Amino acid sequence: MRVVLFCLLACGRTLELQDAHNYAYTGDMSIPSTATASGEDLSLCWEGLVEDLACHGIDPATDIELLSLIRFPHLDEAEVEAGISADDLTQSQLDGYVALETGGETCAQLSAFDFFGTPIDVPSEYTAEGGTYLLMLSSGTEPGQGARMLQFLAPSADSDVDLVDIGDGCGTLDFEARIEGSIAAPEGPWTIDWTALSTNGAGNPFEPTLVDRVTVGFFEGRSPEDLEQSFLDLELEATESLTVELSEVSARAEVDVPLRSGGTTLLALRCGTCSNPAPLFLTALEPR
Amino acid sequence: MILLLGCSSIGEVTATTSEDISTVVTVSWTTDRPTSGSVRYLDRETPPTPVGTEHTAYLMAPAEESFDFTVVVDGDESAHEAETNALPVGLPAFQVTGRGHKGLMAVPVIGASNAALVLDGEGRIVWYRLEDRDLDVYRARLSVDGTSLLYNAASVSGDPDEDSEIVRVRLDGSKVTPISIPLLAHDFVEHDDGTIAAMVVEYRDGLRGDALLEIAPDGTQTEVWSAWDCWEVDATLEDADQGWTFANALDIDGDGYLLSLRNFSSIARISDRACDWVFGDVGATFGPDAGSASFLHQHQFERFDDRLLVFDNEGLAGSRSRVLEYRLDVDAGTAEEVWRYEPDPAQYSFVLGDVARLEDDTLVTWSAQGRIDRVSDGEPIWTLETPVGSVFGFNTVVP
Repeated sequence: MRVVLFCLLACGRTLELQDAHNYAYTGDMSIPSTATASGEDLSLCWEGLVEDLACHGIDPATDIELLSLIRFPHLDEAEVEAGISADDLTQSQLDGYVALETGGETCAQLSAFDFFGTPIDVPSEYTAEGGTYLLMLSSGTEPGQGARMLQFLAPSADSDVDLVDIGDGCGTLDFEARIEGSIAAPEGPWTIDWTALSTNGAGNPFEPTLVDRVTVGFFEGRSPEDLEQSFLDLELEATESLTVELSEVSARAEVDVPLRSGGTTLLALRCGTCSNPAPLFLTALEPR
Repeated sequence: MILLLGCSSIGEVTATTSEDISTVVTVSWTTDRPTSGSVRYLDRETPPTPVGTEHTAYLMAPAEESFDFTVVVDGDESAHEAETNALPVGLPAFQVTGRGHKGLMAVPVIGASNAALVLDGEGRIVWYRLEDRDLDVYRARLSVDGTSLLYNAASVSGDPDEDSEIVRVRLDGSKVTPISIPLLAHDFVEHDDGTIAAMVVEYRDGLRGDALLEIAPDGTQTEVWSAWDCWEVDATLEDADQGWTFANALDIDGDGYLLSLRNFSSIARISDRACDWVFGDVGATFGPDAGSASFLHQHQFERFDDRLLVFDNEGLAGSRSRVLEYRLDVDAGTAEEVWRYEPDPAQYSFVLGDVARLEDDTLVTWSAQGRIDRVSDGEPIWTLETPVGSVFGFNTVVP
């Protein structure tokens, strides 16, 4: 059922976003896990990684620029997956981080990873007793950002595997979205105001400092229901879209987009630095 | 700009929110005779202004905050209001649990953001400068005159950088003065007269060692110590490819310096190009007393009274770091362990790390874990954490 909230909440040219407008998102991470030899150097290869977590096609040689191996000493794989889905992991939950810039290669040795010039000591730092190891393959070289694929490595005394082939990311993120809220909007330009939001689309506390862009997209001939499977691809799927990049932490942004009929217009508050690509807020705009 | 009229000997007062650093308010006022003054705000007070009739003080406050401040001059007071603006995007948001820590800390973040920050006890950013070059920030400290923040922009990941700098930023961001120091390493200090001392990498015969530079207020740079002054080269030491000695932390110690040497697992007292004493393992003149714990690959430390606190990165078996406190008698060459802090569950910072004594408590910075604990009676009573992707550099308590 779609809920249309009229006037009161969208009168004048300020669109005051409320929790009731927001979409509902559930996402389960099913990060593949590979048992490997414990304390042994590994060959990590990703030439078969041609679709990322969002099922976008990628070139493994040029789009994967950084490999990061993160060790969580006190979390198991399910807890790490839950933390990534909720985007609430803290740095102190991990006790090891090493990385390697790929330089256009599609294979690397674990022993080449380092942190601030201190190389990993594989025999002592990659062990079955060390905890949960998450390998992140990313675009860009900012730690913790731009993840295109995730892979658990599980060192085990029972394994002699020393080659890990990392496959496609499509299917790692199993999500469901319901775009039921909407705002009856006057003609723009608008001031989008999200001061009143308290929860994000996943039902977690809304953190305003995470919002770094606002996107409005028009999808010709498509309904909100149609878009529930492709809401991660707002800019790719939109007939037209406008993204406002925020320069400062704010609860407001100015957006000027003509509202069109014959399709659906979606408004999204997004976080470019979050591990979860789902918008924090998503709703449909309907011409008033 | 907000124009405010004061009273008594305090003349016109202005409070201007900085356009460059949105959390800083510049307060200016005049007095009818040469004197000094300060500003009280948010349970803090600025350093005294130089004696004169025109005064400026910088207030650091959380973003988007309205607050009261009071100009104080020779017992006269003038109360006003100010407000700060929003933070830029791209800075991490910190989580704080517990209570009991109120002071400011100058602490860099490295990783998802590279920035020099000043944080308050609630984990709110009250000062910031994003470093957008491909250099890391390891140390930030308020200048001795209280009007600027100094930070290093350097690289210790692999080879050091020829373009490294110490950067002096006026607190309102209106003036930025870079000091070029090629091959700058992790740490630096500032003396009361404004002389800066900085660790740099030095190469001799293809071998990487360490040196100390002093940078006088007029910019003159002088090497005052080299690792080759104290020890014979031993290139067979562990991790020698990263540096024979691998100096990683620096403090002022009276008329000399204390320098931590990671690959020696030792801390050296340096003056007049000599090592007065060396405490620890390799190259040491004395080590921990029998029955006292040793440290391994330590980073920052703090010497006060007859004590030495050491952030011990890897002295424990397994992936565990800790803090050790010794009672030092350098004349007798003894070091008795008097306290240790080994948290459960374990924390592990395999690089960086810092420790400071605050009254009866201890502030421990587990840098690589993005975590700072205030420890009281052996338990963390206050914890500040970064989101995944950001770690801390060294931590300087702002007086």
